[in-house]
Amino acid sequence: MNSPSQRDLFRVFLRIALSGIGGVLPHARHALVEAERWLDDAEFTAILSAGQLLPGGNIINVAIMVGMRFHGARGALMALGGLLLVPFFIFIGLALIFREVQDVRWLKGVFAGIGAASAGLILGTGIKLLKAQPKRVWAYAVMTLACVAIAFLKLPLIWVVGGLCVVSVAIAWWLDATPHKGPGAR
Amino acid sequence: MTTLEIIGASVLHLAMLSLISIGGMHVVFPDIYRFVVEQHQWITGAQFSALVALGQSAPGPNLLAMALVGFQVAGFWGAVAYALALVTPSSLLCYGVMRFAGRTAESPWKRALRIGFGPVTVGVVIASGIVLARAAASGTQDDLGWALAWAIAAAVGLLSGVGRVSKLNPLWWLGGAALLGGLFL
Repeated sequence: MNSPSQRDLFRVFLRIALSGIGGVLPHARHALVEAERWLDDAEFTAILSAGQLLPGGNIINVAIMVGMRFHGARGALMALGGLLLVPFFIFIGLALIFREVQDVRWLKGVFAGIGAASAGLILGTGIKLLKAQPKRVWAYAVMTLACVAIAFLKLPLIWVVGGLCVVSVAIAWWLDATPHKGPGAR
Repeated sequence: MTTLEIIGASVLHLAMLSLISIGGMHVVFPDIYRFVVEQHQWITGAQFSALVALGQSAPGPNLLAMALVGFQVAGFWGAVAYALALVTPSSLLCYGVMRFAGRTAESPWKRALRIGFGPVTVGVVIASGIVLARAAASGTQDDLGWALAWAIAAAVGLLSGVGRVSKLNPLWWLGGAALLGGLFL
């Protein structure tokens, strides 16, 4: 295993950010585990899954935890900076272009088209996540409630996450303690 | 509202969302849509949808799509504020938790959290897709365009979610849809 300097943290997370269009995580695994050899596969998985239990973008939390591991708070800042700084200015460039061209008639169609496709990509992500969920009645019920509450009832996210997470985690805890015959088990 | 008031109100809302963005950043997109488009009408649904799509077509973490929204709402400092408001609270929390309770090992309560959060995240991510598809369809000119936008969203969703083509680079979907949109929408 190699140990990066602070400059390496910035450089490698910058490269990860720039290589990832529509999903940075596979590139992160490749860069951190295979190319740079800062972590082994098990360590990467442990860091990733710890980050998924916390709020925040997955790649953001990976950057913070990897940065901290080698150089504490400064390391976290360097990794985050690498991930966000240069892409931010690329995005500013995009925003400037969009402001100029958004009212061009035929481009409105293009934007509606890519808008629909990008909504589709998020739906696709949801479907992939769905396939990884436990096949249990309670899990489907929670999914449906969350989806309807946000997409159709347009409730604030904080109510939905606050309410449903408590219920859902309680069910998961209880079923885990009684693994064979829970209420949703079929 | 002045630009400063808009930025202030947005920062408070986005910082709160940052702390509940469990399962990744696109979980909070629908609530930002609700705040920016429906509640305050600072930008249109079609603009919001186009900006998210531009964000997905560019390299970088997907929370930066909201910096594009911030730019459209309040200029350069809006972009800075939206990005920082989304990234700072969750990052400080992550740092704090790892600093003071830093174990990445699995435990029963972590298992319960992981299994419990799962279905909520899935439901909200699918809702996010529906909200964004609705926003994209609102940018079309007539009923036929509206139907085509929904058809594109549904087709890309199914194909990228389940099909044998699900590993295809997302740029292919976005490029194909750009062509369809330019020709027919």
